[in-house]
Amino acid sequence: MPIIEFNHNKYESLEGETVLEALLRQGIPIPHGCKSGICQGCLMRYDNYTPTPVEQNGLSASQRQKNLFLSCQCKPKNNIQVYEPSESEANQFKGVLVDKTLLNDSVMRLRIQANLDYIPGQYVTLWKAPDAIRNYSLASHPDYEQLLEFHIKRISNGAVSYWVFDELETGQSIKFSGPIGTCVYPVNISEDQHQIKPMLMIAMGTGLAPILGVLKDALKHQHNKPIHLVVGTTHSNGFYYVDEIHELIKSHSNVKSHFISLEGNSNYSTQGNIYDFCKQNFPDLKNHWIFVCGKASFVQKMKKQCFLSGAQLSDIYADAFL
Amino acid sequence: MTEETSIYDSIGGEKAVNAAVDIFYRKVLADDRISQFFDSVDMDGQRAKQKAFLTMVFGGPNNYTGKDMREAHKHMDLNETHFNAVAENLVGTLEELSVPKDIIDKIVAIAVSVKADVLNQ
Repeated sequence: MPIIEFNHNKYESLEGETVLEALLRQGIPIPHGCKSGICQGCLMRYDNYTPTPVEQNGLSASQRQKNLFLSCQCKPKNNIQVYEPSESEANQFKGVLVDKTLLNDSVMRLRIQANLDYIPGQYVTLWKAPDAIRNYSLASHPDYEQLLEFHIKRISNGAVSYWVFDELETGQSIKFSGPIGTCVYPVNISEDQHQIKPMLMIAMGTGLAPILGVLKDALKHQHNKPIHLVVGTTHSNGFYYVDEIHELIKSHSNVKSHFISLEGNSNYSTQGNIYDFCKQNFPDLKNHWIFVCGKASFVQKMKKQCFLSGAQLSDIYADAFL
Repeated sequence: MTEETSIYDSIGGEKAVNAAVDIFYRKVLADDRISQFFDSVDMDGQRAKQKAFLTMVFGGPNNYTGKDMREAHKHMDLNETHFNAVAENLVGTLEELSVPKDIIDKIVAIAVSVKADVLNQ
């Protein structure tokens, strides 16, 4: 079987094993998170190798030029030489927690002081420990907020979210890498006024975070076609940022917000099924830009529904939380 | 082969495929007879496969062999109904794009030419 040479030490790989799996099996503490090619925690640099597209999926042009690839996606057929990337190659940065505020029963807002060039709607990877790495979307916009903002949902038995809720303290330094992601306002296309399309933005739960980033960017670019923001939760007591959203869009007559919860009522929300709501209110999505963010199962179903309602697949921007 | 390539060029090459692929994909996903074969979590990957299929039936550059078609479909337990459903959706897509009838007939003929391989007959 192929030999993996990692930082000049040789390790054997088994049939069908990825580079990451082979090294972890042999006790090498390689940082890793999702093992799905999303979080980029397991980035490595290769020598004399031609990576497949999936092994570099989501990497920036400069990362590709530096011969970086995703070790969780590479099942080597021949011997391969790989190296641990430097902090700068892996786009790592430090941030300091400035503010930690509970937004509802199970969502914590973190605001972080850090130097980061990002596009609103992108996400970063938070490194609690090399084996506890998670992705969180940015809710902030660099022109609106100086601090990076994240909305973190408490997950039962979640190694990182419990730490965020119960242990993390203001003033503490946190390690990140990124930014990553292409679920962003299509600035290049929008430069041509004729190409601008009405937008339907659908957020479930903390999917609101990246959706807010993209919405702020659309407003900043003076998007002049209708924008419908649909915010969904399981129960109406799960909504957060309702006043902030109303405030953000109040001077933009082309933007409408809709709050839909499966259970419960409030004076600003409607009880109902978000899939039915979208189907009934937006039956024809031809020539729309669609943004869908939230849990993976929700995003997949909603993406398909929007496609069946006429949206081009290339016009659907989705961010599925693992 | 020369004639087939000319169909591809006459309807606009890759541009025509791009125009057709979302329409075709939407039709097969909405068709209860065959939607289960196309309902994948990886919609972009599924779209790429259909692009390859359309390129082939449009007579464009592709690397499909009869053996590939047989191999790819043999575990899917397909029958005449499934094949006809795909063919109908293909015709519906082309009609929606106002492709002339004689060219539609030629495209359908290419699809029919791989029928035995697809149905593993």
